[in-house]
Amino acid sequence: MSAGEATVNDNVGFSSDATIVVDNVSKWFGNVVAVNEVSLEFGPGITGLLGPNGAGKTTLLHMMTGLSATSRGEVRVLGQPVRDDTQLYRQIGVMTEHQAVYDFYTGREFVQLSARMHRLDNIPDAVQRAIEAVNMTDAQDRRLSTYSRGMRQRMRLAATLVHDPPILVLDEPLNGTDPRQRLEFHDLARSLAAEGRTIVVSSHILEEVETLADNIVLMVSGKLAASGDFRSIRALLDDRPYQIRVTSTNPRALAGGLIGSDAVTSVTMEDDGSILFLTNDLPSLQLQLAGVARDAGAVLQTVEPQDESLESVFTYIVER
Amino acid sequence: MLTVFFLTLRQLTGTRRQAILWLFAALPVALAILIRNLTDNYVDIILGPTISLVLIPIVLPLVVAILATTALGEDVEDRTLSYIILRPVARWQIVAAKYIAVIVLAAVPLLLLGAVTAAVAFVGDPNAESTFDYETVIKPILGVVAGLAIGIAAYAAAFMWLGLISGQALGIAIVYVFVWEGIAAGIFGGIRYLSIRSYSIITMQDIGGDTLDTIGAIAGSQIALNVALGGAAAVVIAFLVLTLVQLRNMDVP
Repeated sequence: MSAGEATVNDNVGFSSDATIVVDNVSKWFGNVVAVNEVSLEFGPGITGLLGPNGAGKTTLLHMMTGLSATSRGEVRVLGQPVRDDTQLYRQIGVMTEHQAVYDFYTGREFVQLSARMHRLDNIPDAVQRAIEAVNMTDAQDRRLSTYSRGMRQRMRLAATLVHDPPILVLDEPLNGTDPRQRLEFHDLARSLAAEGRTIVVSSHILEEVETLADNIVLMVSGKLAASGDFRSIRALLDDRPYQIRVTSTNPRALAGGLIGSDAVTSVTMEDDGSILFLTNDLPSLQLQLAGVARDAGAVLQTVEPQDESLESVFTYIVER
Repeated sequence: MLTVFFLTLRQLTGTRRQAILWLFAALPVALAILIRNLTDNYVDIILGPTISLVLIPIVLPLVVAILATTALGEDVEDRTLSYIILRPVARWQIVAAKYIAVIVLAAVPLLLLGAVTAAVAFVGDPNAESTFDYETVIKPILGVVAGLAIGIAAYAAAFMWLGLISGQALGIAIVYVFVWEGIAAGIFGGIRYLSIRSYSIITMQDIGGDTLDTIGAIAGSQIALNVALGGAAAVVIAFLVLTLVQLRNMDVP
């Protein structure tokens, strides 16, 4: 995906350095449309695939990696249709969302399994290098069944990296990891991207990818909601109207004092005595709210943002 | 392919599963020893109830079903199939490696303990002309082993496919064995042409010689050996192809 301004509900054009091309892809299960006419491309660098749970990220990644067939459209990796070409997996490292592993293996054996299936020339060196990259050397001879979720994720990542692929597709790789492990993952991903690799990282947590990804693709309800660099996506999110519910000892004075303010789009008095403010300028409203309350001698009891779920944030992007 | 083969061996050799399999497979041996110690005319009883009614229709399909339905089914259920699918390994190699692993793990207990069951019947039989020769001992034991081998090969292919397409594969396999091969085949004679159990019994009887006539008489399978072998081969090929097609076309969880 090209860096630059965010595009909303707009499929991006394909460029010559794209390593993964998703061309008008849809996927449905019976009457349920999981991914709806998505077209985008991924090139060298880190791209964050962002969206709430159920947005279709995993379904899209499954089609991008050949785990699932498309219902319509085509996915090409390095110019080849990804489905049915097993040799393409020499070029792709995929870490799926599911954390299941072969519990009877040690961490090292698990990475060795991957290396053997890739028929690498120097398996011991490749395995050691991958395990060192994820900082799991000390625990490599323990059984996977004894690992924490974070350790398991790191060893799964080592198995994904062992054949040194130019393309990495990582579905929620930070699930179960602690803050220190996240930082380590960020460093590792950046160093791999600096070598010219294409890295796609999915997440349902905006903050998780904002410091990591060069570009972001937003998915909501199976559709491509927006794509672009992080700042432009963040600007889209910051422009959305906020609903703030306020309770105070003098709601009428508070509503009257703010009703003409530029920071307020609408004011609604609720039956329970609270006031619902709609605003496009949250910082100004917060400042003015305190001033009006002081002048009116009202005590602010609660100031609650409404509808702050990630899904509602993403839905705003789609509907705007 | 070897890597997937050894991986499957590790997956299927859990202590509890192996204990169940070996206990199942040892059941006919225990019955045969018991019968031999209880009666003088033990050969026909071992061939009848033990081999015809326990080893072939129950122990053989169940042992194979426990292994074969989990060979790919467990990967689907545990969501570990992607670790194999996302590697540069041809799909046919995955199917072949899984199939061979099931065959090996089923053959060791079934052929070994099946041979021991037959040996309990035939070795040192005081009613036989000779207590140990090819015709009265070796040939019938080979017949039992060959029949079991045919059954293992055919059941393994069918049940491995079943494990890939259904989360209830073991239950469906048991229903198939007892309803189709047991009840339905007993009512409608034509079903023996479409019954793995029949293929196994006919092979056993034909290779084992006259000594094993009791098995065929009790089981009621009277089809030609070439039909049985052809039927078993068709089952193996058809279900391995179906498994390969399913693996290529399915959405991997």
